[in-house]
Amino acid sequence: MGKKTTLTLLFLGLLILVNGQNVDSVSYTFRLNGLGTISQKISFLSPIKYTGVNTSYDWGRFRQINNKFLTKNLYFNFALTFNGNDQNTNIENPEERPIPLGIYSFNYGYLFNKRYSILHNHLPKKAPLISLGWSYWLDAGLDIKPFNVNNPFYYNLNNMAGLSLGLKKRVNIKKVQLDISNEFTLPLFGIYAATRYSSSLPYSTIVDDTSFWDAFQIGSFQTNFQFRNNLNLDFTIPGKKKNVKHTFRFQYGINYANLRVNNNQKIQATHIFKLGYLFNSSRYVHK
Amino acid sequence: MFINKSILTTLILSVFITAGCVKEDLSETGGNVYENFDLLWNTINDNYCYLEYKNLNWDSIGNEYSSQLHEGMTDKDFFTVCSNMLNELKDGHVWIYSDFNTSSYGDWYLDYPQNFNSTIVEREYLGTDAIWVTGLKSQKIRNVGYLRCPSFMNLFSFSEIDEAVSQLGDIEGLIIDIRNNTGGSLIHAQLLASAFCKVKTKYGYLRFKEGKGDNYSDWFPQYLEPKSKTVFDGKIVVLTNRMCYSAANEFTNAIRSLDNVTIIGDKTGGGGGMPISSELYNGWQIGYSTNPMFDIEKNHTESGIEPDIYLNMDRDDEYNDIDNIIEYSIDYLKSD
Repeated sequence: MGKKTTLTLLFLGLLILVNGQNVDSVSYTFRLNGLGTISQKISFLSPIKYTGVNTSYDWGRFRQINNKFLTKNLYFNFALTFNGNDQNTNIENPEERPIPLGIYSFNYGYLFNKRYSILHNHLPKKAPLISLGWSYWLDAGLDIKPFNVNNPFYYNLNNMAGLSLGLKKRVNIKKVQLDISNEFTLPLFGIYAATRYSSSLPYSTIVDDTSFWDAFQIGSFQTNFQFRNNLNLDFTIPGKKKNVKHTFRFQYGINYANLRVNNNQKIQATHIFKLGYLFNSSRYVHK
Repeated sequence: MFINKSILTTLILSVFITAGCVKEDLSETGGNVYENFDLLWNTINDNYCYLEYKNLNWDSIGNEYSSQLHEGMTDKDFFTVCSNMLNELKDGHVWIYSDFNTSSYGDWYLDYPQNFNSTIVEREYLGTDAIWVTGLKSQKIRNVGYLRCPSFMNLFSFSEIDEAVSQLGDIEGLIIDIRNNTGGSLIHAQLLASAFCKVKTKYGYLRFKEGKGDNYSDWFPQYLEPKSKTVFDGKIVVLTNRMCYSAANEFTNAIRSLDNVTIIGDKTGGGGGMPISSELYNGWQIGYSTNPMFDIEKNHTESGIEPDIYLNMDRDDEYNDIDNIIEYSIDYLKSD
């Protein structure tokens, strides 16, 4: 690389850095662990409702540059659900019971939201900052009911695009800074793959002469009505060292999905309380 | 433009409220006998694949058994009503399970001669020096190979099938005895049949139920795929009886598509519908056939597969520890 090229690149880099310092920006990563409740009805596995507990792990990144908000969120959930009225649980020695009690549900996904603040010139100063944008959401689930014969599991793979709505408000309570934010994601359409009506797996994995693409279906609300809402309370408190602050997040998350693919229906609702910490928090405010 | 704080609060709260949970249903209470009966009747009505084929009037069957229900009947009495109704389907793949009893239709073999005596086979034909490879046993009898496959529940691989047969050395023919094999994994049934095919061979069709009522997939052809080698390509006899069911029924359907195979014994028991499970509000488990399988002529295999040569066990021979079906098969294979 020539001297001129190197100097030009360094100069350009410097410009970018300087420019970067001239905008308002916030960025952090977060890790959250949660516990909550889940209720679900998966017609392929059972015609009745199962309820239980749900655990979650979230990893994500938030970035704000001026009026642009970017969030990335990777999540994993594991749930154990039961038929609350299973009369077979009344046997004297539960160890003799050959039927495993519940449905084991695994769920993972990736969510990308890009939003822009809106109405900020029209709102009073005390009003929350509102942002609106688009979202990409990959949501995959595997639900296992071990005792079932030939229908022991249900899978779904949802590739969705939709709207993202954000609200943000800062409150200071003595030395504690509280950032309240809410993120709502609503898919508008998607490409879905899920268990067939009478076969756990796609036909292409079982029989010859079938197309792999038969497993996928394009749809909107008629196929799947799903949303996710996360209410965040970020508490920032001063650390023992000077200029060191710690931010803890408490999140209340709701997920709801009503998936109707291949004449099966999976309805799932979760409520999860999560706790975590915001890492590498940085704020540059242009004055 | 002014947006009031209370509007925003309402917006957020409405999300929380609408999220709610999955709609309440009878699983909360376990349902009474009428509600559980309705669920059972509807599950079969919507999903069972042989109502038309068996010419069953499910409405009238439902009316007949629902009239036997009454408030305060015991779980055991209710179970009997349910199992009697399910037995009208005459299908071994239909069952109901509770913690105090299990019921499954069994007349597909109980009404017929057994045509198999495991003691005679074990003692007189396999003996103590039989080759035993996982779920398969083999023996050389008067220069004819004898391969016993009692179940497709046992897991075996292609190489294990090959071992069980190749260790017999040179043989003039092979008997594959699947009598009393009540099924298991379809994959293993197809694997065993594929071990003896030389070219890709279509042997039947499968259809999947795709919704309630008369809603099925296309006809998906089923093939035997040749493996890395053909285990044995000489004359083969497959022994069947009424207790060959489900995956064993499918094995019989598959292997009879090969030119060098003859089926000897009794008609198989059937079980041509792939079953799946469900349950009632009270937690009782049920199973029923949902995906029908067909032969090469697109006929249902649910009622069993006819042998090429009908042969029953001879009582006198059995008394003298002789399996005349095996004896006949040996002679058949040794003849030109």
